[in-house]
Amino acid sequence: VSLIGRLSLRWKVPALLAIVLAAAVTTFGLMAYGVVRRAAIAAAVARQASVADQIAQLAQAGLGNLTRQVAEVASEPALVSALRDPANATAMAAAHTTLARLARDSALLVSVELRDREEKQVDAVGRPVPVRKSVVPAVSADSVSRSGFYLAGDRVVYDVRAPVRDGDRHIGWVVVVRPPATTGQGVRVLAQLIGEEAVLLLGNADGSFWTDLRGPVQRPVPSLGGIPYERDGRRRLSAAVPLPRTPWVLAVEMPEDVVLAPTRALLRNLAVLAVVIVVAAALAGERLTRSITAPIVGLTARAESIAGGSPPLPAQPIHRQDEIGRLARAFAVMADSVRQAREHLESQIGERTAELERALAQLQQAQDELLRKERLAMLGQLSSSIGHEMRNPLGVMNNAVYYLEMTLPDAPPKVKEYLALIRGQIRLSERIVSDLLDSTRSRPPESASVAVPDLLDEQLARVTIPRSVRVERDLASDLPRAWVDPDHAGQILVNLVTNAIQAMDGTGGMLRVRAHGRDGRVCIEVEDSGPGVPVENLEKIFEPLFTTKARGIGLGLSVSRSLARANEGDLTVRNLAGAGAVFLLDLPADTRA
Amino acid sequence: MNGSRRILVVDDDAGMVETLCDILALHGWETERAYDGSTAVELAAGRDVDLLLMDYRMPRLDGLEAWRTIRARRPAARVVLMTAYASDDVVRRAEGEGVWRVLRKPLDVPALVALLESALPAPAE
Repeated sequence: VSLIGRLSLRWKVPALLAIVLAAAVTTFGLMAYGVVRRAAIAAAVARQASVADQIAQLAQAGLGNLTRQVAEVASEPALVSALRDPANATAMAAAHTTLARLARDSALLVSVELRDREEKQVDAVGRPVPVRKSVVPAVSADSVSRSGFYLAGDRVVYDVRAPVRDGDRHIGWVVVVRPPATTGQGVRVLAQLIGEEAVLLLGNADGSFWTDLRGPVQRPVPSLGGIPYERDGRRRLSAAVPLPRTPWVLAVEMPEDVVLAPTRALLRNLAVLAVVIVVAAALAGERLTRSITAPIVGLTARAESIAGGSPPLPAQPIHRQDEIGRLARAFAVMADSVRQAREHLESQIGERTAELERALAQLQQAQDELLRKERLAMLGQLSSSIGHEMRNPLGVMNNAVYYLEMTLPDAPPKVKEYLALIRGQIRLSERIVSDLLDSTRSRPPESASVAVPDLLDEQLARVTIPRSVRVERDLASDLPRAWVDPDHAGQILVNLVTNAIQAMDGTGGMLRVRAHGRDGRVCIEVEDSGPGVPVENLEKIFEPLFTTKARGIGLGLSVSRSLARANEGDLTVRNLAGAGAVFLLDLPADTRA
Repeated sequence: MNGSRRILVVDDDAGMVETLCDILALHGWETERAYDGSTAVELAAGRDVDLLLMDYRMPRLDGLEAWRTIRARRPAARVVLMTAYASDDVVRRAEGEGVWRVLRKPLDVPALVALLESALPAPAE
């Protein structure tokens, strides 16, 4: 899962909003900046041009005086005389005075020179500079002209010259070398109009020399189309105008950063505004998203708790009417129905489980019963076979003893005693076989109406009751007749009575037989005062072959219970509080009467 | 008929037959012995036998079936049937076949002797 997938919506939405807004604002800001920047540059250049124009006019006006003065001096006769005859000292002195007058009138002059046609200095006032042919423009001998700027020593200067004529003949020049003179006024105007950062530049129109009026400078490039250039390590913008009747160009230059400062300030403000907008939008987005996600988080927690199988969390009141509110309400309804379905299912599962457990218990009981019956049947068959087979040899032995007793009337007493002993043991064996056969005899019950007291009398008579055992009978006067197989019921009673007597094992005690009727049943209780049945054996004593007696094969109680159940009754046992056990024989009553 | 009482003792258990015959001889009976049903039928046909002491359960031909044949030939004969099983069913069937008495094993010998005496009393000497 990508990071984006892992992030909560609560952060994703504001982040997306902020990114989109930031992109939009940045794009807009950059476009706006570009437009404003171009406009600012265009405006600056236009202003520079206009200022340059004004300064050029001012400069023009300043140039006019000097032009006139030079023209006047050039027409002085003293100069003509001096040029005609440079050797004439008087003429030269007069010419020098004239030149000196011009130099005095104009304090800014570097030098005033008188030159012949070949540019050779005839006279000079001030500090004459070497003649530089290269900076001398093609001049007309008809009028005053100016040269381009050039460097004289460390000073930037130019020449103003006027021809000296002797009649129609051009015989020489008056040359005034001076620095550019419009600086102070021009710079003031410049500062007023554009600002202190503006620079006024003068240069030759052929581009050979540029000066900022203090010294030579790199050539500025007029910013056509607002394209800045770099000079002295700084990006600049400029506008230039030619000065009429001179070989000069006047340029007004501004550093680009100064021109763009307001634009940059605008950009800064825009950026701050953009940041504020983006942050505000992100915060608003976060709040909005939270108002959507918070209920969804709650719903999710409840859904997870339902999915996890725990009971649903209690529903919270829903006040919203929007889509989230509808979702929450729908969820509450769903959670409720899930809860109901779960409860229903659980109760059903509980019922089914209980049913299954009951069925299982019944099945187990049935299986146990079947197993018991099967074992009993097998044992019965085995016992029956053995019993019957034993009867023949016993019978033969019995016959033999009889024969010997008959034929030996005068036998020694010891022989007679032994014969009697054998006869007794044979009889005992026969009884054991009979008991065994009786106890395993199984045939379907043939029910009949049986009077319990009579049955009890008959069966008690069959059992030898030791003298040490007292017998107590407690039969209800309204005891109903039982509806059972008399043989089966008799056998059960014999077994129970025999069992009770054996439980009291010679020490004697009380044998109680009680009987009463209730709800269409006859209940016979056979109680002894023996040691009782150990709790762990309460059910086992009904299993075939289970016996606690030293002698006996452990079939009596098992057979008795089978017989009772075959007769639609049951046989159970419980211990008495003091000592002894009581067997409860439950039989159907004869309800026909 | 001569003067002696005759009885045919039939049982697949030889010991039983021997002891019973010896006991009955003591009491003055002339005894014939057979160890299965078909022999009993043959003997009863060949000899003058009017009383039988016969086991019910025997191989090949059981006591009741043997008795049915013998009875057809000697209607005057009587039989005492011995059985170790003595279920009510056997007793009922035996009665239907005209068996005189059914005795359950183990036998009460004195009672048996007395019973047989009553069937054929000893001739007065």
